[in-house]
Amino acid sequence: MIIEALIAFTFAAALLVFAVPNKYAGKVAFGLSLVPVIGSLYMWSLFESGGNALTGGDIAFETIIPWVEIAGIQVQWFVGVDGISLPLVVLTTFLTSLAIVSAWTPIKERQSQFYGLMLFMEANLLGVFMALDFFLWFIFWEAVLVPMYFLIGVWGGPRRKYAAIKFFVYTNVASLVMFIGFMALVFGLNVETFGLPEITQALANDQLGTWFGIAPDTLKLIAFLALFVGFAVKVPVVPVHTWLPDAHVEAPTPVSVMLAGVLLKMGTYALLRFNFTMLPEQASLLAVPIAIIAVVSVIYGAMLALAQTDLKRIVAYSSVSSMGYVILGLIAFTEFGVGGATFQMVAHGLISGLMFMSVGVIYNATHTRIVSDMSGLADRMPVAVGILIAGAFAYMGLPLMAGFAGEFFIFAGSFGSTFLPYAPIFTALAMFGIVIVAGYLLLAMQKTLFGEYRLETDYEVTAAPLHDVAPMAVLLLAIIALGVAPWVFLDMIFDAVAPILANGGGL
Amino acid sequence: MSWIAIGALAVVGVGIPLGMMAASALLRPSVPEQGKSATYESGEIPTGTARSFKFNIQYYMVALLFVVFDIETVLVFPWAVIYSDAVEVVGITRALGPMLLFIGILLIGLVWAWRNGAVSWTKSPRATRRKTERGDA
Amino acid sequence: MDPTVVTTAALQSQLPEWTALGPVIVLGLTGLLLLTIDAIWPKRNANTTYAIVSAAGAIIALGITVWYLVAGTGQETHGGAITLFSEAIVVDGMALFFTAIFTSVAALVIVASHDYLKGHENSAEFYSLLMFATTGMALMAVSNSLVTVFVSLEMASLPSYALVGFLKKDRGSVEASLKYFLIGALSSAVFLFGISLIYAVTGSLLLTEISAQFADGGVAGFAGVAGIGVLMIAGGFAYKTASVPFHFWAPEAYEGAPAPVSAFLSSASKAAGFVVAFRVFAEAFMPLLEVTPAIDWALAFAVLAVLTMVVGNFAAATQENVKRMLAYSSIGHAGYALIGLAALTAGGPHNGDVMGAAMAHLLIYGFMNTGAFLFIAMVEYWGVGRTFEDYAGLSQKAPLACVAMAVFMFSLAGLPVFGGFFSKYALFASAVSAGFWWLAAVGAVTSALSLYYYSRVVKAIWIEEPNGNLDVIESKPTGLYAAIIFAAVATVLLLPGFPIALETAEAAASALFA
Repeated sequence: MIIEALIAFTFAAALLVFAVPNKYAGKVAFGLSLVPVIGSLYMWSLFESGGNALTGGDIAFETIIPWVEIAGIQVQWFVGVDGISLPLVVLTTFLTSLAIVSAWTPIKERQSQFYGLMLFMEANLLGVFMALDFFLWFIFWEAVLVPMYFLIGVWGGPRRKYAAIKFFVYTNVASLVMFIGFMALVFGLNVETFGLPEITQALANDQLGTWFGIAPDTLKLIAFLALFVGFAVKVPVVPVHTWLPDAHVEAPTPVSVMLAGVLLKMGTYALLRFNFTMLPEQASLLAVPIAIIAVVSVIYGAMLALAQTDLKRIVAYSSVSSMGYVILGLIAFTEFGVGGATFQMVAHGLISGLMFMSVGVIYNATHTRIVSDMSGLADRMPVAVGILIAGAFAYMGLPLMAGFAGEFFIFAGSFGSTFLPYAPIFTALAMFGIVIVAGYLLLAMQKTLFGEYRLETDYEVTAAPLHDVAPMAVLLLAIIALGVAPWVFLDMIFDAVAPILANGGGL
Repeated sequence: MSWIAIGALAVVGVGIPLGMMAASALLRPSVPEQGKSATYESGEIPTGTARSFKFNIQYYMVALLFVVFDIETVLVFPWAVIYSDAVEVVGITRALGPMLLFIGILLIGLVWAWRNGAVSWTKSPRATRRKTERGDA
Repeated sequence: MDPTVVTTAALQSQLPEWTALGPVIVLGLTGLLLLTIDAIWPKRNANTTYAIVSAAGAIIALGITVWYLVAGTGQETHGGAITLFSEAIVVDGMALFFTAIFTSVAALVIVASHDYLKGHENSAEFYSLLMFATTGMALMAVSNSLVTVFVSLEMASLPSYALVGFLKKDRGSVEASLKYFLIGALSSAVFLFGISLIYAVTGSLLLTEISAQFADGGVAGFAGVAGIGVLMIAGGFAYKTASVPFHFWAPEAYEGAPAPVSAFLSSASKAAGFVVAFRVFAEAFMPLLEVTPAIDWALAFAVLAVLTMVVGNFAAATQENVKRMLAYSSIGHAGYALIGLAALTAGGPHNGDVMGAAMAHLLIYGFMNTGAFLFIAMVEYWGVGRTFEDYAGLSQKAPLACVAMAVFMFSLAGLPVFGGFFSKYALFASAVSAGFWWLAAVGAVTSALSLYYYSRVVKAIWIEEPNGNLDVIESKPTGLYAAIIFAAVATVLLLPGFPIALETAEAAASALFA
């Protein structure tokens, strides 16, 4: 029942905040958002890992209620968590609270609607990570898009209309492709419910028959491709990444935090849950093209970041690059690779959240994000800049920070992968990306933060207010904590990942 | 066989008027004159075109009410013919009730139309104006 | 009276059988009551009184309908359909389901019209015409003979013509009314001719007897006549449901009519066309598919469905006027519901599912489409313009109504957040399992397209900045607001509550094929 309570409370909180006067909306929303944080931590404290939810392992906090039967297949309210989803649930609640605090400064109008939508989005994100029925999951998945569309479209920058529509069209078309592909699979399977465990196990037992004259293997391949395309847009990977920089640049800081921190993880989470758990044979068949996409995302994303002059675009493109690592870890299909990729989802959520907040704080003070417009900010806002530098080092994979653990396991796993041909070459190429990351981050920091103080816009830069710096500090602490003690998540992740790898190789 | 008689009747029926028109066309003198092609041979000069001639909307109102009760008569008539037999078979309630309901509905409609001025002959402002203008002249 | 009717139904054992027609009677009496009130105090023009009376009538009728539905009147579980008047009338699950749609749409429209008609003369006529049209629709739902079908169809249509032209000083409204009337008269004639041909072939007007005649194969020699008759009747329904290529009246009528009337016509009147089409084809013409494969009316409906989905959605995508866009979108939705007829097969095991899904879609569509048109009515009430540009920034003045409008738009587009998604999915999935995957594919592609034009409205009201167009907004019409919010809540609640709608509809539809 705790999952229902968590989701229901968050929805109710969203409705309540809609009705709160603008002046108090931010504080009320923050207060209410602490309840899901506590709830998710409570779930964490009760959680005992026991395998993967989809492959027949234990499902914690499970509830199954039949909902409606359509065309012979039962749709259910089926929720539960395992070692893969719980870390993401904690990440979601945690990051939403911090994002709400970071919105206090930049959001100046229609606050109650803004914070209401943030909480509405949080409720649906929790649903995405906890739903174990395909239909239910899809409803939450799509419901995340609606608040995001408004958050970018109403509170965004000058080109917000274009960015919001682009985001909406890209992700909706992708969802449709994914939905149709998966439906073809389900209709061919003759399952009784849309429960993901049932579908996974039916696929593993070769229950797939021909459907409208399409042979099972072809059907699986079509479904894999449709799902991959659908999720790749969300992740995003090159070449379907173009919506991301636009969305990030136009979105206000807290929305960027949510977008990079949690929404992108929906894509990788779904890839792991659907493509790699349900259709490993097809993943093996397409391992090389997927690895190429991953490596191209890493290198090309980093190169694009290197070429940007807008701080936010730099961080946005670097997200494309980081998501490439996650895909590489997944396709390596080893315990370290997939486990590291899952851990990296959480780590990158925290780190990219911190980076976007830092850029936001700089923007709040200077009203510009162009690198060449400023220098020497370190003198004027030492605390914020200090945290920013720490965050950047986390991004570069400094040991004892969360980013290091994720990347280390991904590379360790992918280097020795037997699932992926030419694994060492792909790994080596991807590692080259780290060098470029270090390059652009250090370059941008050197130009903006150090040297003589100079600012092209007419604003007086002073130390950032406490409620801007506090969430950054909390995030930094979390990043360091996860870096020092990665096993708090890694143990349950490895435990949940192991059953997927029945036909994987190495480590 | 019986169709032959009908056919013959049809032939005669069409033949007589055609024959009369043909005979008159052959016998009559032909004197074309402008007055003969006028709409009213009585000397009245038509004004305007045939299409611009409009009836007052209230003619339609009355006509509509008339049609409603015309149709009602059509229904009431056969009902009245079999009424006494029907009462014996199904009883007075089921013989009389539906017709009372039917007439009741029509009555409500009539009363409503009456109260809302469907049958009172009000004059349109334009007609009144025209009349006064003519009176002035 | 049919002696085979088993009177074990919970209600019939307590109430006389004619009470099964309760909703129809209540609706008709409400209309007459309105006329009586107006006849007693003709000059009073008591808009509020009329609105309360007619809303009460519609809600009582709705209440009775829902009560019957829950109690099982006329349904499989309680002795099957109740037939009255020598089988000319049948009350079953399908009739009650659709009556529920008509009465709820009517209630919403009445509540909303109260504000819309403020200061308007002749409001009594408006409400009574609305009630009489609803009565006609409720009669259409229970028609079991081609005669009652035709009479009730006319009874629903004639008040509709007058309602469309209700703004008699507005040229658009009058022109729309005339077009609607002329095409309606034409299609009635065609429809009537079709009925006469079917009568000529089968010698009966009762749907059950026609069905028996066709099943016996005794009409094999007249297959041509029967085929033309079926085609003409199908044409008549296509007109009533605004399906391509008989849709030309719809954009004009919906755009010209007062917006509450557009809401009423595009939701209730369309559903009424579907209930008769469902009953006539599933009941009377079903054996034709089996016995006379040459008369493949399901294929005809499949062609109509594809054309309607494609033309409706593409035409909607090119509109600049929001009301006209909604008019075309409602044509597109007729195409989705037509799948309920197109995907039927002789003795197919999925027939009940397919038609049930179409019925569920019409129910949800009833709420979301009515709500959307009522939002337009509110904008008309304020005097804001009609194009997308005029709608810019409305959310800053009326956030709550704009939330509702976003719900309607996303639900109509079939975004999986609201009721519209489930009903569309049920429709497509059952079509796929019946073997008509290409109908589902066309449906899915056109729904994806529809997201484009529906989201334009959302973009206009939420994301665009107001351009000085909103200064005319002075008041917040309570009735309109209430109706819109209620429709939005219903649209949202029909997502979790969808099983109730779908299961009722499937049971009702399956009874037809039993």
